Amino acid sequence: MTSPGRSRTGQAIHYFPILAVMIFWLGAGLIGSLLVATPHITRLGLVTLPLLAAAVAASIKIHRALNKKD
Amino acid sequence: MTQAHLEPAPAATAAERRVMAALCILVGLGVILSTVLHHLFPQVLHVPPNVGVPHSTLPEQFAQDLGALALAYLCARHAWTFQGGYRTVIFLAGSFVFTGIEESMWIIGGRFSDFLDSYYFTRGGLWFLETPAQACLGWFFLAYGCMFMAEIIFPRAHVLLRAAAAAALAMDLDLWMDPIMTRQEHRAWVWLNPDQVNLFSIPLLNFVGWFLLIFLFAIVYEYLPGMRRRLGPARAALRFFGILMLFEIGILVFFVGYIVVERRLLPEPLNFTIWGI
Repeated sequence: MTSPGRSRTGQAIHYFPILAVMIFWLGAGLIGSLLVATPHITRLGLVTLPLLAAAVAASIKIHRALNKKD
Repeated sequence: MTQAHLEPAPAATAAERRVMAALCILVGLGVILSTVLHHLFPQVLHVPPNVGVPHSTLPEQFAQDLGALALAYLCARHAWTFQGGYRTVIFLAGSFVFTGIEESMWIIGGRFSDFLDSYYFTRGGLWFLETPAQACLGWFFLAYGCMFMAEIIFPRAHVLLRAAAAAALAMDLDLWMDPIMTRQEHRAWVWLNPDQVNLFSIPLLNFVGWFLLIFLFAIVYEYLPGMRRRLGPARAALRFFGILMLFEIGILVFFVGYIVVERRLLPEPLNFTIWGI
């Protein structure tokens, strides 16, 4: 396996797992809830704040580690 | 985050590639046989008809598989780069075997007995037993994504803490997804027997199951590199899947005990909800 390298694609791979979870959150969660005729169901998305906070925290740590490596 | 997270993994050895090929063939065969059985011979496993279920034509069901496949690709690409092909294939096959058998056990069990709290999935192009491949792929990218986040945030924490953090993150997302996906507008799956204790009108056992599955899987997966070094790739894979099967039995025994106690203690179902969800 070759090194992911410093290219944009190479750097982006580090975020792929977080990206997958967030795309699912957006597509199945946010858009899915908006299609339901009960407005409260979108508001229930507030329960996922810990997940969103974890995604932001992990992304920041990855960004800092990549900057440090360069 | 440690330096190890940034370094690419070495290429798989010949012995590892043989295990990877064997796992791909076994899971692939399981998917092909289950898909044929589900779509062409639904009477064998009493597959309920999809009357009134939105987006349930066959092309639509296969199209939905592609969405799950795309998200799974993102995680598989990351895993392949940083953990190597061997661990990636084990994780992916483990997602099918562990979650596919666990879900199918309840789905098929509920069809032939009134005791189990049961449900069924409505849509899926490809199937593994009676679980859609998109659900197994969904479990793969959610479990991998949450385990990755927990590892990045708590790199030096004890394995049990990291596994618990990953499981809590995945369960957190599920707290929102299940009430959405079981609504009339989506009906991605249907609950048949209501549980005695429900959260947002979803059986509490479902959320406990999400936590347990990812928590236990994360622990065994953490020990996989050590098993690989000690036992070699083939025996390590056998032990990995053997432990997962023991966990399956343990979870079943725990859940059956839970249901018995719950039904004795609570004559009427409870639903903990906000905004009437």
